Amino acid sequence: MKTNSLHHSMPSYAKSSAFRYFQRLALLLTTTLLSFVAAAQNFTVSGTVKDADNGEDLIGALIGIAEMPGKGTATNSYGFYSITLPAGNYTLVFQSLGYQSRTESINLTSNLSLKIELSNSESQLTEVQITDTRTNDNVRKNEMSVMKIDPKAVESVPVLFGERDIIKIFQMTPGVKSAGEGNAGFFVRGGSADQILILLDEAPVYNASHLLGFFSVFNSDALKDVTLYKGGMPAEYGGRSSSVMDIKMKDGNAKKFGAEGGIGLIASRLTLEAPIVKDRGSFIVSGRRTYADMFLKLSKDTVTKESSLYFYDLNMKANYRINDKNRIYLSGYFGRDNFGLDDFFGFDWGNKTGTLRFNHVFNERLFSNTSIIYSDYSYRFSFSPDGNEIKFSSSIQDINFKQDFSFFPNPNHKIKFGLNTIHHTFVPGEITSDFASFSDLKLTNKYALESAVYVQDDMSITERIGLQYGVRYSFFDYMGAGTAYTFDENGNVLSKQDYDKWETIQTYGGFEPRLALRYDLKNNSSVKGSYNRSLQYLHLLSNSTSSQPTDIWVPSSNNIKPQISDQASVGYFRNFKDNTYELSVETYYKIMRNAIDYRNGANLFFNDQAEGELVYGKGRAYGAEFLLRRQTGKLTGWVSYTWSRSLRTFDDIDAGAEFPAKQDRIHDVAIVAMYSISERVKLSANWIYYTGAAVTFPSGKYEIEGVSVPLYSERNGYRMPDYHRLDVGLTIDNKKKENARFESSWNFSVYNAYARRNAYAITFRQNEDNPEQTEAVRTSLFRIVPSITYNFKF
Amino acid sequence: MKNIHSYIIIGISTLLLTSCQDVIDIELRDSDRKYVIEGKVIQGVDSVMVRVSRTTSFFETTGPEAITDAEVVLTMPNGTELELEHVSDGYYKVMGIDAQPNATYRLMVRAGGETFTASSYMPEPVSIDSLTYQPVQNFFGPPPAGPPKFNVFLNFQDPQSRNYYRAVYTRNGNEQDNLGDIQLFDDELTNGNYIEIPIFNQTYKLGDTAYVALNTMDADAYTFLETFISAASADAGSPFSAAPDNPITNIEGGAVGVFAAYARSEAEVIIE
Repeated sequence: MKTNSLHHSMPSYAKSSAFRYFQRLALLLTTTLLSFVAAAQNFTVSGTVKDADNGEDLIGALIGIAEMPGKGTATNSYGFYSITLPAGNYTLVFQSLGYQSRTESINLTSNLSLKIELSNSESQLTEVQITDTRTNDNVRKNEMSVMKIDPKAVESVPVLFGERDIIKIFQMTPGVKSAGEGNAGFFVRGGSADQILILLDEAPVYNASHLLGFFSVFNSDALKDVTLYKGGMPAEYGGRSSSVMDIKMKDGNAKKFGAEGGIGLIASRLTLEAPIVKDRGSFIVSGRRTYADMFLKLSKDTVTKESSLYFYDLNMKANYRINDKNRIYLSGYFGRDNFGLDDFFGFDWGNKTGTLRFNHVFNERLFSNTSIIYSDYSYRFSFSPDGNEIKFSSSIQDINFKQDFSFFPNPNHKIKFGLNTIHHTFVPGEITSDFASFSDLKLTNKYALESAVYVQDDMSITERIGLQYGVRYSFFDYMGAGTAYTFDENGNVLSKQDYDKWETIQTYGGFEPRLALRYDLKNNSSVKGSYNRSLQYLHLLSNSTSSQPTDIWVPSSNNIKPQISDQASVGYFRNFKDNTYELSVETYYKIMRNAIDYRNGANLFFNDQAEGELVYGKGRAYGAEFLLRRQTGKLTGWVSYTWSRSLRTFDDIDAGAEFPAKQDRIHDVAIVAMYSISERVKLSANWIYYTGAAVTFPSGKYEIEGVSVPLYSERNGYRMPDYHRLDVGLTIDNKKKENARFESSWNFSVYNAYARRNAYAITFRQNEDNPEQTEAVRTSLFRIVPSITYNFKF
Repeated sequence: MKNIHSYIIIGISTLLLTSCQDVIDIELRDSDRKYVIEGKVIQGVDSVMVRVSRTTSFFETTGPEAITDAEVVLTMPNGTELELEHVSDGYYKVMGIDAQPNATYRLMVRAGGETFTASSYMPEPVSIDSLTYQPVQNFFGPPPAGPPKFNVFLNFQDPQSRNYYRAVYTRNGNEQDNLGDIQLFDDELTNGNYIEIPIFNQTYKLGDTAYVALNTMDADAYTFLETFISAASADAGSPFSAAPDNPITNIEGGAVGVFAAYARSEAEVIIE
């Protein structure tokens, strides 16, 4: 067994010593906890905060104590909160953005349970004059580099084909870059696409896009809360080195039956939700299907007519409160893309995830969640040119166990700790065929166990100083049954060794410290700093510069080391005009080690020795991000500007010279504005500008056997032309009949309204008339794409 | 097999997208000019031709710059050195060669004070069992109009070793063997099988004579051709292909290009 330590100061250790670290950490955890419990004559008020209309748990709702300014807590992902205080009289203030705040006076002489329901500020507009809740949590929270978007608040933002897509909204925020025109793939702070952990109800989603990346797999109707951590990641998250996108599905309406849907140009959606038992349990089912291929049936061309091209998503979730202390959740996602040409050719891919969760309140201060999570991504294609068929398939499957605790010892500390272990199965490829000249083939499956323990504390040191600190220890075991290869410097196989089932081939492990510090200044402003290290044990191999369904996930192995990223950031946060305007300025510097690239002519497809096609290097990224945002009032939206660089160095590329990564786009501007002209009419617009992506262009040419070929001299030495576009949208709510529950609206939008020909790709070809002449060809995709969507709700 | 999924991707995107293309002006920097060497030794062909040229700037319209004063030497497996003479336009030639398989051939080119060398191993030829033909099938819809067309199939037993193939074919004597419609394949997924493979880029009519030569070469020459085709393909540089890179040459000393020794077996059939 070979082992590698990621710490230079630490000698290499065997698997057993890794468990010693687990033990030590557990000991540390216990002593920390005991020290908090020791306080005397304190009582706890705990409970849940929910939406009064539909019973949805409110995540991150703030609970302030009027008598103790600067102290307080927030609800966790399940709407649970807990505050422990000395006996006495207190006034608790419950707040959540978009809801009316509520004040409760309590006389704390014993432990108290307090369930709170907050009313939507919109729902009662006509009855009383409501001032929206405006919070200053962006200034007062210890965490930084976090972007949170409520899917409901951005419904009217114009998007391509009118398909609401929360990921495309995030692409317009600082530090987040889209993978390309119309693409739902994204990069965060100079990291690559595979360095983003995308969680849907805790289940990792391996391929988050449909139709070659033009749509994300997330149906906004089913989502409750989306949070993106760009840096200073809390210790509870791990497994990817750049960022975390934590997506929580709605629980379903616990009060009454509800339906919501939309009919658009290329897709339709329908969501149904209802209580199972009123206020105790509910479910939600949300589906979406595209029907762009219906138009193909109108074609006169037989091939086009018999082709299929669609995707669907199905989100389902149910929860049931057994009693005040126990609650279970079951949620699932199924999505698939299908592409077919008659009977001749088929290609389909998609994700399946399932999460079973169990919440248990041990006591007023200790909350527990246990999850068992299944996650699967697969793709298949088949050819049957003459009745005989040849099929190819590949997949990755995870079984994941997670145990998390939230502990609320007193108002100064919020402690989380837990553990997580994932069993990964990689099926790199399998070919079955009816053809005589083709052999059935199967590449060896790969297996790995990825485990972690963590503890973190979110504390206030003084009224003005806050600290969030934590550590995660992760451990990775790449194991058999399987075959491990070693390669020489040119990628040729040197040796080969077979391993038995569960036999360790290679292990890695390491500590991931996480730290965030806040210092409050005058005038509702603060400065914050953070540092985090993240280890990544899974890697995405891609044969192309865009992400494709056929990209392959591989584990760290005897050849591939974990990717390590260290990031430090500093930021200034300030709110103006009674928290109407939020301003933030953040800078960061990030170092990435063990980055992956490919040998020239790398063959990653169906290759047992694909690891021999990889080369390793390092990267760094740095930048500054500016955000001015307004979340309440008639005019909402934000202005975002990012200045950033992302650079890579590989010994095998350009002789070790530093070159820009493709996501190195120096300037990035986005303006998003939504304006309510009247109660029923809302106008919206986005304008986006960014520096063209770094790209490799030829700097010469030559001819072999009469065919001209480009000569390249530097990786990513050129830039695509700068990108910009304007989208506009108009949402009109139809008149609502009095006392009727039915509401509907029309949404009109135009993507790329001034018809800019943004270059999607620039390729070179020989001129048809004069083969000696070479020309550059720009491919541009979408110019003035109007769309119309009808949405309803009852 | 490798190219299949890029075709799929291109197919899907064509269906999906209302894209448009136009020719634009781009300014490109010139890199240092490199020498380009292209040479082949073919079993049963009694002359060897080597072309020496230099790279030009990318938008140059006058064609490659021919190098006419190079020293070009071919070393036969037995150690005999043969000097090639300049014929015209950077082409160098030597006659009276008897190239036999299972042997290594070496090339040396000296130009502009630089020396470039290459070697290529000519493997055993793989003999063609037969050529057969079938009417062209149209997978979609009714058969094509006009006189019947035929696909020619190449049938042979793939040996147990790794083999790298390039099929050269003619219709009534017109050779189709430029890199534009090259038929290149290996036995990675079909090793040791009986192979039946159609000639993809040429159809035949009744009365035509089809000639096919099955060339085999070493791994380095194959790698060059494979990476060359992907570098020359129309989608190089598109988001659906890998970051573009130079073909992997088997020439040492800083030149680009290829020197390949091909073993060859041949067959002919008349479409009746």
